[in-house]
Amino acid sequence: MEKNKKASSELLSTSLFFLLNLIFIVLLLTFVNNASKGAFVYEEMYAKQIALLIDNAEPGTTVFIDFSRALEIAKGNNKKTEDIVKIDKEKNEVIVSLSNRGGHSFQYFSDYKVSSYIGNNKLGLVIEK
Amino acid sequence: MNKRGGEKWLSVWWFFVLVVIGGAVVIGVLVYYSAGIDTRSLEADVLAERITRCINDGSYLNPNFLNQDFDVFSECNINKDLFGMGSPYYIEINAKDIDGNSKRSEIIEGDSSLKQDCEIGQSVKAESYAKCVKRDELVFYSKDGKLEKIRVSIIAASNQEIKKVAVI
Repeated sequence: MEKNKKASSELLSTSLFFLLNLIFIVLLLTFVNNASKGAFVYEEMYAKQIALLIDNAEPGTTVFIDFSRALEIAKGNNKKTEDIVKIDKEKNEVIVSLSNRGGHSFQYFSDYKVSSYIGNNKLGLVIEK
Repeated sequence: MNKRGGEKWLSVWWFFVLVVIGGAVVIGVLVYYSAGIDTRSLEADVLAERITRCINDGSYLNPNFLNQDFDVFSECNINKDLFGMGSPYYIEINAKDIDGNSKRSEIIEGDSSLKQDCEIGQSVKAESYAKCVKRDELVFYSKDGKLEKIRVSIIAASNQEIKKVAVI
């Protein structure tokens, strides 16, 4: 009886040990996963991508970017689709925001008239002289 | 004996090890993702490409280029307002004939300290310094009914960093 009690106690502490380690590993992996998919990483990536595409484009063209990941993140953060990308013509800046905690901006040097729209999981950039 | 074994597993020491490992992973991830995506070389290359395209028109020189009033901004569709002091951009254009004689005055726009930063960056490791791209183009131009060659050297630099904005 005493032996069974000891064995049961040892099993409990060992199980607890593995459970705590498992929780720790899951929390750590969740943190790394969330950090890699965080809005700030994608805001920077899309802002730079859009600015460089504008600078590399010829006037009179429309450029499309796959925007599905951005839309997914924005939806998760209750961000309105029409507020995700802003082209500031005064400052020649592209501002991308995927959450309600601000966004990231990047300048383009072109003197083109640029407008953007989102549809079918794509971002369209209309570049005119 | 078993109780002591259990206590060993769940000791304060073990939790200390978990905190150290967890802390190291968290710091590592934060440092990695806060480092950002470096596009300065790419941007300098795009700027150099834009200037090349407006000077080199299918291996022939833009006819306005040798005029002293050649405006690189209007000719190449570049926003002049971004090239003042403290600008994140720099451009330098030289034109010489095959013998090395200058064909027009040098065009220098933007923050000239970026070019110096690039030169320093070539000899020492300087992550935050500007990135430069140099291009040499050999183009033809017509002089007195004869085709002559001209070498156009373009240096473009960028030191633009991403900015965080509070409200959009």
